[in-house]
Amino acid sequence: MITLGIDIGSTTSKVVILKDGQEILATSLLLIGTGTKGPVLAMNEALMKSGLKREDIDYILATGYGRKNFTLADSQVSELSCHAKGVNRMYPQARTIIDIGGQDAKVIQLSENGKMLSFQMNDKCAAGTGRFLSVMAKVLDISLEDMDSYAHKSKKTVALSSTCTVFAESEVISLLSDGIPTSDIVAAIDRSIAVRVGALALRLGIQDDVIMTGGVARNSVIAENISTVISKKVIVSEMAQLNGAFGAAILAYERVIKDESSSAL
Amino acid sequence: MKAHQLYKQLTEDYYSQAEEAKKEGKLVGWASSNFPCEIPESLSLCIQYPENHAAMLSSKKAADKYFALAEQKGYSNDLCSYARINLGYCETFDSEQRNLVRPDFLLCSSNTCHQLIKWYEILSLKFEIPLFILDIPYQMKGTPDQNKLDYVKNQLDVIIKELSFISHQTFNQSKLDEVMEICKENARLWHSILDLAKNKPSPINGFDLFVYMSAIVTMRSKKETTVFLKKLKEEIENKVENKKTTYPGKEEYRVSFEGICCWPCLYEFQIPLINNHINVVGGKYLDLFALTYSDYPSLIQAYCSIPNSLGIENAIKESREIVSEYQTDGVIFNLTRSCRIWCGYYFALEREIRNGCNQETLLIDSDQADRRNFAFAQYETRVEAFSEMLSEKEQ
Repeated sequence: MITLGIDIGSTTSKVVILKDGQEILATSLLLIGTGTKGPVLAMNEALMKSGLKREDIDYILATGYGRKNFTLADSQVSELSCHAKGVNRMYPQARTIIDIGGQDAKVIQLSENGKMLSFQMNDKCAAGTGRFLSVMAKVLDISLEDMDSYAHKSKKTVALSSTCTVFAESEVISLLSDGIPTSDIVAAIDRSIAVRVGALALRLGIQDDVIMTGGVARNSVIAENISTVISKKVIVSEMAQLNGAFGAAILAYERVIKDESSSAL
Repeated sequence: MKAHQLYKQLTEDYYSQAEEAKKEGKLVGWASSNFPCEIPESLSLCIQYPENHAAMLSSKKAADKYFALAEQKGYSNDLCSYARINLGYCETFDSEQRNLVRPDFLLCSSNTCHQLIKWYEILSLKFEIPLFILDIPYQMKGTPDQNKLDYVKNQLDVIIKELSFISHQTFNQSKLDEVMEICKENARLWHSILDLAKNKPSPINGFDLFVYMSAIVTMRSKKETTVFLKKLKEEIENKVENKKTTYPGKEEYRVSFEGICCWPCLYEFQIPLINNHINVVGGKYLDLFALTYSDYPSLIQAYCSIPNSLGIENAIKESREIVSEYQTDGVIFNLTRSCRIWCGYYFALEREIRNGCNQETLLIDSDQADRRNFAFAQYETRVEAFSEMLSEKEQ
């Protein structure tokens, strides 16, 4: 059986194709999200990589903020449940997920059998999300991908006190005007995200193992800083950005199996 | 007449009676919603409630221009959105919805919140009218002791004298007793209506109760309210008997709602809940204005024991009672951003209920009246995740 999970976020579209709910046949990730051609292009890319056609797919499950608008899907599930499912498959010992995406940050508590026990999300403010990093990268005139290497070169701790994206942007511009090296500013930005998301996690309650997912998980300095804030080891998921789509593909498989069982009865 | 028609008539009367009183040269006052309405009613004084008016304007999506006016005047958008709407409204009194009449005096009690006092002080200065403040001390733990009750009673004695003086009315104990009887009956009826939602499935969509509660906020001292509440109770009892409900769908999950509703997004709030078969069956806010007492001393005790003026221990106790009595599966906590009272301790309260009551919980971000502080997509995602947790729990 072939199932496809698609995670349509605010800035990216991710697809995972699974065989029998276990074997990953193909993945794709495009840097355009909901409201664009991204979801369809990502799906076509994954189909092409796997050598499959649309009609070979038994079930498509969509997640992410664009899930409701993806008409090719058989059903939709919130990204929180998909992240829980994906992490539980790869890391059965996981009890806490920290997911930082383009426009929100989430902390999810998992039970021993991988069920979502509770969750909390950031409020409307963009601070502590991928959007915050994008805005800062633009101000610093560096790419998002280069931020990690800049942070690693930081030699001096600089304080970034604002939690609001707009205020922090002004503060970063002031630091640049004062001649503070970009590397130190990037490190300060990373710490500010870690403090905000770490507080969210501490408020909900943290149990080992802590797994980090989402696009921001690619930034190793942020993961390290979150680890410091919450005083726990943070494991960055191997499927970080694809985890939601991976969970969606597993849930798609489970839905088909459940439907088949019901029909058999 | 059906209950919803009686309710509409009641609302019409509420506004038109104030307009008539003003035309006849009688005094009309504005009061905070938890001020003892029994006092002005016993002196035949017409009262209007700016908090309720602000909620009404926001629910009709007619508040945006008043936010702009208030912010132009220099009021921060971090302030209570009810206050901002009213302070903006007071610049023009020109709503295309129902209008308040200009007040002749103000009654404000501190058992709702302390921002209200500053709001009313501004109104008093603006209109150059007397402001009567009833100071009700915040009670962190337990119930108010006799000293506090005496302190509040002494203030009420003075307020009664001064209201009698400015309105040329003579205070009459038997009239107060009569008004208290009406309030007690209305509170009893409202409680019995809320109790009907304990049936499984509930015969009523919780959001209907959020709408109807306006009667108990603004008109709990009126005989006409008794007629409306009796009819509403009768209609809901019929639904119980006939196994019908006003909830549009199948009630799979029952939840309690903590906090003020987001009035401008009442419809948007319901849709994801209905789509996920979640019905609001109870909530502390629904019960906030129907006070239970037997005599004047216990009336004072009741106004001193409004949840807003009691600490978190009481909030936890009441939330636990609702969860148990209404047999809920989960609790929704609405973080109304411009109301510190109704979101200040919610993170702690949510943790207590999640860990101690076998309830799924959901924290959402909105505001009681400012729709600019509500993001539907985020709300919808959270409700769906909440529903998935409820479903997993069931399995």
